[in-house]
Amino acid sequence: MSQSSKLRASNRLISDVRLSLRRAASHKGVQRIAALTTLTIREALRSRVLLGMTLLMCLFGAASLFWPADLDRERVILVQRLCYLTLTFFGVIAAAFLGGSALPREISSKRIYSVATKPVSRLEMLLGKSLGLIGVMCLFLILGGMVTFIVTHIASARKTYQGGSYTLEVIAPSAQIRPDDEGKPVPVEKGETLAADGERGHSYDVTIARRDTTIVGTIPKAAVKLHERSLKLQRVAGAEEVSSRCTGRSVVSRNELLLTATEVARNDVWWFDVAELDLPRSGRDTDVRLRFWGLRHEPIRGNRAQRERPHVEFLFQDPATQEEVRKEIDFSLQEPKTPSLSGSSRPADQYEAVFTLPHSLFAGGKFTARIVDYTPKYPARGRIFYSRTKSPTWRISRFDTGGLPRGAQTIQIRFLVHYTKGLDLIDHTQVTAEIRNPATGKSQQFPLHLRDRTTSYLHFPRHLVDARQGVELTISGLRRYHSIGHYSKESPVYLLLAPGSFWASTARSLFLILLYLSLFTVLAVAASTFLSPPVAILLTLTVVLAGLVKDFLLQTRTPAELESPALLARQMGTVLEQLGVWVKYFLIKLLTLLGPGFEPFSSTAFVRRGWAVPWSAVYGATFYALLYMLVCFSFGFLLFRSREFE
Amino acid sequence: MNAEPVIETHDLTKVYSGFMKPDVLALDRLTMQVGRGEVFGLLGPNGSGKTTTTKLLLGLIFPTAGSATVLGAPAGDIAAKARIGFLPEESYLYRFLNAEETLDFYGRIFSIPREKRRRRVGELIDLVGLQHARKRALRGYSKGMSRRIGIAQALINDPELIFLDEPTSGLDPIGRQEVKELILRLKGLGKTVMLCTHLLPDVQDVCDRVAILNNGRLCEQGSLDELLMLKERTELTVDGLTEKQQERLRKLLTDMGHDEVRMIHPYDTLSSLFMRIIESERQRVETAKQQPEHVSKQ
Repeated sequence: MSQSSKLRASNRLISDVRLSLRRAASHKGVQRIAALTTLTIREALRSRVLLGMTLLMCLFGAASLFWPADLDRERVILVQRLCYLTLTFFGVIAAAFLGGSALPREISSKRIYSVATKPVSRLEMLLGKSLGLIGVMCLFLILGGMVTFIVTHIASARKTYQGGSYTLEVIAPSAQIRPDDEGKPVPVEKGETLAADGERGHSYDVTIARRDTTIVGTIPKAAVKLHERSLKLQRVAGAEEVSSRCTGRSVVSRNELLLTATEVARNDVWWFDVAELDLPRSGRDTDVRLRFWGLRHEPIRGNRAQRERPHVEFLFQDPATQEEVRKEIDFSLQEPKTPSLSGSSRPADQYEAVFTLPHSLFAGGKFTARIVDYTPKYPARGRIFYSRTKSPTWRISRFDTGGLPRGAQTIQIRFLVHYTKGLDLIDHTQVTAEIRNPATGKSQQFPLHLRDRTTSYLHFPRHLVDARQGVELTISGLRRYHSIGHYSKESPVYLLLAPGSFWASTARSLFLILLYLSLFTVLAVAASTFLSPPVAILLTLTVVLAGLVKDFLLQTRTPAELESPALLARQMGTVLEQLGVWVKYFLIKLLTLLGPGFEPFSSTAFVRRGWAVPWSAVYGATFYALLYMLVCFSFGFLLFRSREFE
Repeated sequence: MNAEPVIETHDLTKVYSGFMKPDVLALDRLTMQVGRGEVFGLLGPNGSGKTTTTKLLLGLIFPTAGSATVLGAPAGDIAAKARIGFLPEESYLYRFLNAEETLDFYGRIFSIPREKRRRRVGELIDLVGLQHARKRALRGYSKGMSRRIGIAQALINDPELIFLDEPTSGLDPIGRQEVKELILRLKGLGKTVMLCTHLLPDVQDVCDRVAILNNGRLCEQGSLDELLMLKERTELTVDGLTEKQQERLRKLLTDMGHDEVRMIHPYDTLSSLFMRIIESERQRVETAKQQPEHVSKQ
């Protein structure tokens, strides 16, 4: 083809596309597209594939009720996740089959003759078909949303803790228990002696409240001192356990800095408020314990003693005096089989180091810590610092609320508590959180349930939050073995499934799924413009699978493999093993680079944690969906406009 | 052809080529014209290129070489399609729709306003005689009924140019006759009709001009009168002659130098006979229906 003919062809293509767009955007064009869309919906609703997928979706959605879950809140979240998963799975199959076969069926049955010979452009035909199938996906999701609603409703109604009054039997050495005759919670002071009353426990009335999807239980009539003793709370009026047992020794350690979770990088800086750490004002240096959890990213070799310990070099700095202290800290392995904090099934190692913090560093009230080096074999992936306080009250004098999402009715803050008790973990502990707005003087107290290494959430009523000034937050009722902290580096506040936001979040989740299904519908339609139906369906499902594989790789990849293969290979010893590491590294890297990413369309990350799906996720997913759909649609249109209907 | 051309092709060629398949020449340099108001017949045996020509003119497929204009615009032009009606070889319609919904859908495609569309749908259903089945889904239609609804959809936009591909296939003799009458009525309204068929009697009854294709090539083109007239022969039809009169006439013609003289009693066509029987039966039924009314009045 000569240069001039190529130019002519491209000019013709541009003018054709421009004309098609102008026609489609006209009033009559919209009417035609609407007619084709309606027809497509009516036809697709008769599809047996859609019927089958809908039935399976309903069946599996209902079956999610029978999935085992330990806690009520977890059950509701689990049911929701399973419903969303079911919707996505069967929806994407329906989208692939309907999208991949709609146009070819029209062509093979020659019904296209009666449409293509009318004043309908190819663009309008493709648009009508795509929009119609997206409309079908909408209907599918509306039905799925109803199933989700019913199933979630049933799941939330099947709570272990039903509202109302129950009788609790406290089984514990009576010396530890002090009944309260007035029916109010009685805090137990340190060292307080309780009256001995035999070995048998006492019965108390307990009020358990239901709040939307969460259950909040209080034990108002039992005050318990936990010290080298055990306690078990059981529901008598019912067979299930209400609370959990507390056993083990209380090990009190002071001034712990806890470092956990993901993504530590060199030069990351953390701020510490001395007031939160409860450091002594006596002008003496003090010992500080730093804890670190890390995922085990290296092959397990040898025994514990042979395994390399993390070595982190910190640079502490007082911003007021600019005084710097450089500390090289070697961590010792504490708990080799601690469950991972990031939700992964791989075990996490816990390391601990104790070092002396010079008083001069924290005399100014605050100091910073900066990681300047660490042993890369253990890529410390963490961004959460927890400060520990020895007093039963933890006060955050100025909790910054400047970054709170606007328009939210209820805002929640994420806490994480750690108990430094002995071998057994304490499960639930209730403390009291008081939120006070210094500007208005209003304050309110809330019960806060803490669970070891599990995020707890606190509702921030809107009327208490002043975005300009921040609030005072006081956590009281802490035990000596509690270490409590909150997100201090990144966005500290998350919008959760607070009362009133549940259905909004569900709607957003469904919208994300709709975007996901729409994307694959358009992809299938685009593929069917040049491929036979089976191949178009297969291609679509392959892309879905590739996205899932990429997600899987991103979730399960080890940072060592992806970030420092050379180091890991060096550690591996033999050439063959080194080669294996490199091959694996490049393979995983390649797959994660080339694989299609559909993370923006997943609400799982939010639902799993019980967070509300934020608007930012919706905006992001909409942007990506429109972008992907535009690319797929344009490609499909360019091929379809030159397709002959023989 | 003196009228303004509605369809014009110039060296229109189509070669079907496929992956790992030999090329097939379906249409070879077709040059023809169809004038406004004509009923034009495109004739030929199966595989002669009739349907290919129609598809090319409607923009369903693209020419390999040559050019074609329809209603003054290049073949396949979207704006021109608004003035075209098309009845495919078989009625490829949406079987889950009923007659009204089908016509309404195509009316919406043509952006016909709702009120006008509703009226037009009613008229066309009456025209093709589907009043009794207007609410029935097309999947329950017989072949003839499907053909009728196909004809109706081709006329939904009151087209200037109508392509009819085998319009009488699947129809009973009455239906065929009605379609032929419809074609003539459309002609009377100034519409141009392009008829693709291999049923020659149909063509002869309604067409003004024809083109005969074979193996993708145009073999003959012209008006029926021109093509069918045998100028070297004369046919004389008179009321019944007696044997004696026939002898005298034969002798007279022989004397005038005409050696080949045939005298026969002409036969009626089966079609006419069938129509006559059906018509007389219809009249008998109507008379029988009127009879009780007459008696009761007395």
